[in-house]
Amino acid sequence: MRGGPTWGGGLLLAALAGGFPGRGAQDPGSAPASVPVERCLECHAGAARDVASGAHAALENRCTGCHGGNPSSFDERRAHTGKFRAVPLSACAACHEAEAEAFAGGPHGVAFETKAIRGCVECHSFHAVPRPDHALLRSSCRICHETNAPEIVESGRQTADDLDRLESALAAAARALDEAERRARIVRREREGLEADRLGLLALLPKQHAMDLEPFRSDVAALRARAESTGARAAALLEETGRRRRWAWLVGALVAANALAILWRRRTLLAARPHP
Amino acid sequence: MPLADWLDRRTGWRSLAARARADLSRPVPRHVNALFALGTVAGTFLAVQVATGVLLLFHYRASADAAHGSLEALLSEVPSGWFVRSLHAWGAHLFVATLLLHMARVFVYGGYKRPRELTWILGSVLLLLGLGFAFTGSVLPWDQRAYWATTVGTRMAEAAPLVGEELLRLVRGGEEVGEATLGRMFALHVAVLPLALLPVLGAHLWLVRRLGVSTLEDADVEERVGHARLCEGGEPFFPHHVLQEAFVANLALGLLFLLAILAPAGLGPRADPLETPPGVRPEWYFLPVYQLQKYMPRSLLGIEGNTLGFLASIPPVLLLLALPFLDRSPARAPSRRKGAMALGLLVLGLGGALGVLGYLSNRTVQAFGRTFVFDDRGFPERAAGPATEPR
Ligand code: HEM
Repeated sequence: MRGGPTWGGGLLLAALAGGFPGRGAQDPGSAPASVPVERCLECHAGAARDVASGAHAALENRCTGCHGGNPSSFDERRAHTGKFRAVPLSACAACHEAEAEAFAGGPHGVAFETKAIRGCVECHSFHAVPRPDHALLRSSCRICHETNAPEIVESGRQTADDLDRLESALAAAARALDEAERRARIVRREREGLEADRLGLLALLPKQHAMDLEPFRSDVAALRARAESTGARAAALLEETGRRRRWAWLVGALVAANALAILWRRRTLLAARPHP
Repeated sequence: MPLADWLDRRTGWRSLAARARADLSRPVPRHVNALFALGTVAGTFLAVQVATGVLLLFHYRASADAAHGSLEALLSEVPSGWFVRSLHAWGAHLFVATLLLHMARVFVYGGYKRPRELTWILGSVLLLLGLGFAFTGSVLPWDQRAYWATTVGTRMAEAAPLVGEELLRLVRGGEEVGEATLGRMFALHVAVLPLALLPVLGAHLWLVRRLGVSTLEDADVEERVGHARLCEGGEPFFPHHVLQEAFVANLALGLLFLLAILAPAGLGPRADPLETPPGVRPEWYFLPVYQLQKYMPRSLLGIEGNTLGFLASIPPVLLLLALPFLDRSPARAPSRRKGAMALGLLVLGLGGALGVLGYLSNRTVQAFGRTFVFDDRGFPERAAGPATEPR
């Protein structure tokens, strides 16, 4: 997913991008990395602040990394030349390749082609890109579909609910495994399974971006069933551990009874002893 | 009983038993109390270690690749495997603790004095062997804690003067803790140390029987009047005193079982030589020695600090072994041995303090609504504001 442009198929993205450099790579069209981007900030300080507050705060190639342009110029017109892109969809695709590809191949790709929507930013917002979460599926769909297709809004909402349920199943299973481990149970395999399920969810994201929501939801449901069975296994381990602890009472009682028997025997022996 | 008769005609066991019984019913001194059962408790724990150790051997694989997995399987698949392992793990702690208590009992009652010097020396060797068992056993689970505690523990060999590096390589079987380390620790733990312990323990117990438990009379009085006469009027060793010992051993076993059930031994993540987990430190019984190293000056008279630390841990061992010859006064009653009692308390206090400092070192502790960060030496670095979430 990360790295240079490797997407295939005559996707419209590729056409638009015209060979966009991936993270860290240098776009020959834009200035070398050593040139500070501070000059962009002369006008776009707010955008920079937004970036710093979002999920991309840690990215190294700042303004020019996504937008291209000529950061060594103070002149507005000259600064915005040199493969400048106002809405750099291709920049998103450089890292989120599979999602972008799925997006372009789905119904939203058509809307994008006809310029009805602006691409990723339409749902994920601009510089202050939030960490994606399920809430997006509740809020974004209605931007366009509230009146023309309420069933789409509904389907987005249900998908968000499914994802919430999956998240809480994963979290509950992780908590139960932690608890079992605290009680000295071996849960390595269960943990590995849970980790695989988490990665499985990430692998499903392209499907979601193709807006193929029905198969996506059934895959999410399958993951949830797996997470729930891991949680149930951890709960069973805990339950069994609880039963073991009840043994402690039995052992305690046996020890006490034996101790009393020994003491009793000793007392009778001592009582029978002639006093010196 | 025809079978008993049949056996007696061939072995003569009846007269043997009669003689043993007569010997065993010799009285013990009158001051003998429950503390005198601590030796038996140590023996009981040792028996548990042998029994559970053999059961663990049925499943344990001594190789860096397989050790951790074999214990995982033991804990998750073998019926009651968790219980056997927990008994062995807790038994090790209790065994060492009991040895120290038994030693303290003997020290307080002057049991190491004439003519029981050899009993004490053999006992000291048993203590060293016991610590050897604990050290060699701690690497066997091959989890992160085992690996890194052994890395820290074996590093002490490096501080030996002149041959430090060679010694370290000898102990580890290479530059780093690895397959070879596990192999030699395993061999020591299950073959060499048991074979070494057995004759020493046998001699220890034989001397205990031969000389009898020491009286509270001065050593020269005991020699002059005779042990047997001083014990007149005491209760017979068998069955009276044995029942008292059985009572204490029964409680000790109960404690071991409860600990093993209520706080079973866990297994950390598999050893990873590339990732040092935080808070690595030796077991509690090695903490004082470990902590002592940290207070050594960087160098003194051209001797490096680490070497000083190594050298500093030799005199205590020699002192332990030679105690009966260093303290030659005949007095046994603690009330007339103020100096010895003070020395004992000093050693106890120093060891305890070093242990506590070692426990606290490099730790963040929340207490009294504040956060205390302890540095490498175990001193609080800063008492920072109100308690925050532990990291
Ligand atoms: C495997 C470890 C050990 C076992 C099983 C063991 C067992 C015993 C037993 C059963 C006794 C009879 C009296 C009593 O229990 O107090 C005894 C006495 C004695 N032990 Fe140990 N012992 C062990 C380790 C030690 C150690 C570590 C020391 C001291 C360094 C020690 C020093 C002595 C001495 C001097 C006596 C004679 C005490 C007297 O007569 O008052 N033993 N031992």
